[in-house]
Amino acid sequence: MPTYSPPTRSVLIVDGSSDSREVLRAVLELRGWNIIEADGTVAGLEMADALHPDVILLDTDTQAADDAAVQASFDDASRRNNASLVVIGQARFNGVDSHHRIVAKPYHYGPLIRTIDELSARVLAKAS
Amino acid sequence: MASLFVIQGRDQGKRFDLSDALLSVGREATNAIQLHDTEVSRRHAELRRENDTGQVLLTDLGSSNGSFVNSEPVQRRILKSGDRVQFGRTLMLFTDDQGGSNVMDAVDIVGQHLRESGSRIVKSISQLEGSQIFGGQTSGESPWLARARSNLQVMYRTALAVSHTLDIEQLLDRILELIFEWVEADRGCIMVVDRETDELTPLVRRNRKGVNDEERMLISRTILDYVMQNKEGVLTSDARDDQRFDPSGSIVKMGVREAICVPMQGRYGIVGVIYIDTFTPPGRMLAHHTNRFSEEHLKLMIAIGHQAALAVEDTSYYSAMVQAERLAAMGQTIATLSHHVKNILQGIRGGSYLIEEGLKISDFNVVRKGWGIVDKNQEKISNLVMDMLTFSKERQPDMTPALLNDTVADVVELMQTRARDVGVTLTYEPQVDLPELLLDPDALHRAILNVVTNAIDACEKLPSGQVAVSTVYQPEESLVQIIVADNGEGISPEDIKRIFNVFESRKGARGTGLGLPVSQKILREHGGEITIESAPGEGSRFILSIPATIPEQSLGTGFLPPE
Repeated sequence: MPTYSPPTRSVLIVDGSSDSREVLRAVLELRGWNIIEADGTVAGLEMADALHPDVILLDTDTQAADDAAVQASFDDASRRNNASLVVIGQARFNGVDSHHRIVAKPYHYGPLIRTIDELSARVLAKAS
Repeated sequence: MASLFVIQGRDQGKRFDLSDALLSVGREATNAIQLHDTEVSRRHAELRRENDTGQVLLTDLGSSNGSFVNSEPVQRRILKSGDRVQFGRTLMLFTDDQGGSNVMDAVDIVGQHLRESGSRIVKSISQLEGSQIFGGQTSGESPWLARARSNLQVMYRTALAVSHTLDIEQLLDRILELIFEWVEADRGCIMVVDRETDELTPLVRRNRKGVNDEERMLISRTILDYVMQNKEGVLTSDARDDQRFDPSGSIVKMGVREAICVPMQGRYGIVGVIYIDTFTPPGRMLAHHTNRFSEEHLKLMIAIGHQAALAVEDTSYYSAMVQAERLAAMGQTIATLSHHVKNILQGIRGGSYLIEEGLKISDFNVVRKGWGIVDKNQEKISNLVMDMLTFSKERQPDMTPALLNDTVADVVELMQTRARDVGVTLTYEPQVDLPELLLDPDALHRAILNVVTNAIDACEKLPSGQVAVSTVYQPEESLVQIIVADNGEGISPEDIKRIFNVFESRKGARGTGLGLPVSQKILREHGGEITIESAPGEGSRFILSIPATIPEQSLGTGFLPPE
């Protein structure tokens, strides 16, 4: 008899702050997310295409992440990989839509985690 | 880049960069350049950069009070560097570094020998010899030269007196002092135009010795109005006979016999007036009819007025520029520090959130992680505050006999955990015979800590990062060194030049840009210096050198360093 296993949800955290990455990893792992970390935008874009995360979290304080072209690359990468893009900080690229979530700074972790959890529904829908 | 610098008006000191292709100017906040000036229209003018030439075109948008370039009303005008642009009461200086002629192209320096340029030296005069024109009169000197020399001397000394001051009142006081040296006036006053009200405001006054200081100085508005309206200096040798003034005017009533009033005509308008007079009460006027002021005095005063006005303008604009620079520096400092504090607070918030989540599910591993983050960020903010305090204060080091090896050992011990966390090997090799020295151990601890922290950060991404700390004593040179060597990424020569600049950091959001400037400041307070040997990809050596000062009580006591 086949057993049911929930789809693995993965989030790519692109954040230059090791503290933020550590907090998000600890909390999201407790919620069953698989965590991928990048401390820079170049590594982040490579990981997005290589590991196909369901959600990409981009902190705009990460080196070069405040640049419109870099943010547009993450937008493209998220669309290519059918992932949702959460921008923490100011979004500078055109075409922000329901595919994105923008979280203004300074932010509280509770609402951010809830935003990521809400995206689970999209992940589950995609899996089914 | 082109810019407009406000040199007069409410926005004095502001600089507007004209980087966009089209910029509107006006009173409303919707304008790219908003001027806080009630005489500027809501949408006053626009500045458009021409595509083909790159020049900036000013167009008046039908403003109520007009637009002016170099005091001329304009509808449309291509601006040139150095143009004075006026909207309402706001006067701005336009500068543009593009399109200017290159002086290098227009000047040739030919050969090393004068012969090649066709010139020869006929006579040479040293600066000292040349300046003797301001000395005493020589025999056989023509009246023209005597007069010119005398006037030159006045102007020369005026120029010398009015330079290098940022205080307008101090400047005017010196000008008035000089006038009293050259002109036999009893009283004098300098009034400056208030830019808000256009009224003349007396700023400085002076009386000749012996003239009653307590008497209020009454200055005829008739004279002031005439000078301001006609932009002319006036001499009244006898107010009653002067046709230009109404006999029933205030001069007669005040009993003024002679007065000189001149405009302070600057580059951009009249900035004020200088007024001097000799006063004789009405009852004594008939007995004293000798004129003390002549037409030559008036001419000289007009020249002094002009010179004074230029100095007032320069002082005023220089003050505005200094103020603008200060505000910019302060703004940058506040922005940078706020950014660091914000990041630290975000870390504390994250740690607190983890503690809360861990407590909710009774998972003490999560709580411990959260506490670790809070603790680390408390340390960060403590270091930031200490660095800010150290950098901001001029201080003398608290010199005390101390063992430098112990101070360095404390730093190394403190940093061992951090080094282990990021996989870096941190070693320490103290100089064995290092004696007790006079130093400020707390300050040096901070200086060394900052350098060691940087060294660990520089090699944390390496598979086998190594930081080696050592102390070296050179008794023959009375020098002691703390050497921090790492095998990290190294520093390029361009970055080494900027490494001690405040807020320059190669560590992105992690660096405050304060650590090395603070370390350098502490070393210099000890009479020492930090030198760097580094090459990209090969690691770096930071050498902290300070004079090795042996405390007096250790000299001749057979002091031995501890084993």
